[in-house]
Order: sequence, then structure tokens, then C-alpha cells
Amino acid sequence: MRFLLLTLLGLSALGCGEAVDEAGADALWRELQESDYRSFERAPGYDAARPTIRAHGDTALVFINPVVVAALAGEAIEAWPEGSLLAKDSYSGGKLRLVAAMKKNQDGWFFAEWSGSGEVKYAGSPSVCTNCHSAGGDNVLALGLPEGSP
Amino acid sequence: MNATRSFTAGLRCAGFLGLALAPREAAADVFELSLGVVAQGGIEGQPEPSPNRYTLLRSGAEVEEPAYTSFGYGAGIAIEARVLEVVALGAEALYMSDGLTGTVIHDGQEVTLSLRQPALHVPLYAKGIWPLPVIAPFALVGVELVLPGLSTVEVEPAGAHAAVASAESHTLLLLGAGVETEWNSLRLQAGLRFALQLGASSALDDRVTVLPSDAVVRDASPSYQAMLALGASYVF
Repeated sequence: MRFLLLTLLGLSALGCGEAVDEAGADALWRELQESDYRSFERAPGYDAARPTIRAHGDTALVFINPVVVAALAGEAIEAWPEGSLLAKDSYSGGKLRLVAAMKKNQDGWFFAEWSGSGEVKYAGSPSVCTNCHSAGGDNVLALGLPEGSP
Repeated sequence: MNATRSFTAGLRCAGFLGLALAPREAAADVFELSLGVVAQGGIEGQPEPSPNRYTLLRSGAEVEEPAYTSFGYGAGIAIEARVLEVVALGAEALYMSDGLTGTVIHDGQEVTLSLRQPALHVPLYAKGIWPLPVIAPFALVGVELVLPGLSTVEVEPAGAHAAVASAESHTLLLLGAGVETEWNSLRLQAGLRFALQLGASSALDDRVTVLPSDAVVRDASPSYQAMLALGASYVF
């Protein structure tokens, strides 16, 4: 019986959600809309939508705010500066499937993901985000840290 | 004397064979339901993609992709409905740890990647049983639904390659064979199961996504499995 209970517990853990920082997600969503993030520069390599991680969809566009743009033009760094903001439109079958964003604040990166219609799915530092992003330089997968001029 | 011994031994063999091969007595119940646990473990993997070489976008480094294999294992619950002792429909829910391990060549350097993928596997199958009295062989065919959780990747040496793994829900074609025996209301079974992912692609673009940062996203779902499955169930 104990084995059965442990098995059921393990199975249920697969579908468990994580705490969503609704207030943080709302604030970041407002910032994205008010700053018209789609008017930001595109991240290098994202002149057109390109294949992305399947969890996000088929293809994606990545936008970077002026803080990231300035960092890319500067010296080599080992971490993105505070205020860095990256936003991503992900598409499946040509339709906007989700919007994802990550912003660096005093405490580190704040991740958020919304459906194509703007409903928050994840926000904060959920493992569903950090699990993959930890493989990138300072947690950014879309672009590499600047290496400075040769 | 020798002839008598041979005759007696022959009778014993014939008796044993008769006992083993004779059908079971008529079942008391036309319909049987059983509930139990099952555990399985074995080899799983992905063949080498085609083509298997690509260039990273930022550094221009060449990467050679291998075939992946690893050990997968898990356990869960099983339910089976049997009719006339010879035909059954079964369903299971297994919590599995799937794995893929391989060595990529990154800019001439060997880098070992170990992908792990927790997943809920739900085999749904039809089973045919030859109801012999002691050891009853069976064969099954069906599908196995796989609902993956979050993948993890270990890179050795660390930092030599930026790797991410991801998997989506998929379906395996399931084939199996084995034997079972019953003692009172306890049914024990052991068998081999083979599963192939339906629609699995070995095209490089379907297995690997290269990001502009040089991070590489890999499909973490095994495209084949060969498992030894052991089960115990209570027959109601």
C-alpha cells in the first residue's frame, strides 16, 4: 500500500504547478505593453522568426531593450546588467502561442510567460524556466554574453 | 532394468508435458479484474540523426551528433480486465526515468551529454494468454502514451557545451511477450517489452535546435525502448 501511495504521489508530482507571482507578472506585462516591446531591437540572429525550444513553440522572435543593446555594444561582461529585458514572441503554426520575458532586477532574473491572449502561465523563478535557462550565459539562451572587441 | 527406467522416465516426461500444455480447467468466472504493480527497466535510445554534423552560429564550432542510449526504469500501477482467461485489456500508469547518453564531438573535443527525462508512461494494450496450468505465456500489443516532465542535462566536462533538453508528449507502439503464473489470487508476470516512438524523426532539424547563443536544444524523448517488465497483481 505504501508503494502504491508513493507511486501515486510521484505521478501527481509530474503535473504539479508552481507558485505564480501574479503581481510581478502584471507589472512586467504592463511594462512590455507601455514600452511597446515589439518596437525594441531584435536580438542578433532574430531578423526573422527562427526555430526555438519546443516548449515555447515552433519559431520565435526575440526583442531586447536598450540596456541589452548597450551591453552588446560594450566591453566583455560576465553577467547582463540590471534592467536588462528580453521579450519573446513564440509561434506555433504561424499563430502567436505565447509571450515570454525575462528581466534582470536586484535579485536576479524575473521570468514570466503568458499565453498568446495574455493570460499569465508562469512568473517568478519557476523551474520550468530556470531548468533550461541555467545552460545559457547568465541564464540567457537567446544570445551570448558580449565578448568585447578583439 | 534399463528399459524399465527409460519407460518410467518417458512416462514422467509425458506427464509433465501434458500438465504443462493442457488447458486450464474451465474458469469459474468469465470476467476477471486484477489490480497490481509493475516495474520495468531496460535500454532506450535514439539513433544517430541524419545528417549528424552542424555548425554553431556564434562561435562557428563544428558539432558531431552521436546515437544516444541509456538505462530507463520506473514503476507504477496496473489494471487488467480479462475475459475467458485468454483475452485481456490492460492499462498502466508508470512513473519513469527515461535517459539518453551520448558523446558529441564539439570543436574536436569529446563531450558526454546525459539527458534525463522524468515522464508519466501510460501503456494501453490488448493481451492474449495461452492459459496453461502452471506457466502461461502471453503476448501483448498496444500503445504507450508518454507525458514528459522537465528534462535535465549533465555535461562532462562541465561548461564545454551549452546543452538544453526538451520533450513533448508522444506515443509509442508497444509490443511485448512473457509468462505469468498464478498462486491463489496472486498473479505474477515477467516479460519483455519493445516500444517504438510513432512518427519519430531522425532528421537533424527535428532532433536539434541551435540557438544564436550557441546553446543547443535536444529532443530528450527516446525513440525506442527495450524493457524487462515484472508485475504482481491481485485477481478479484
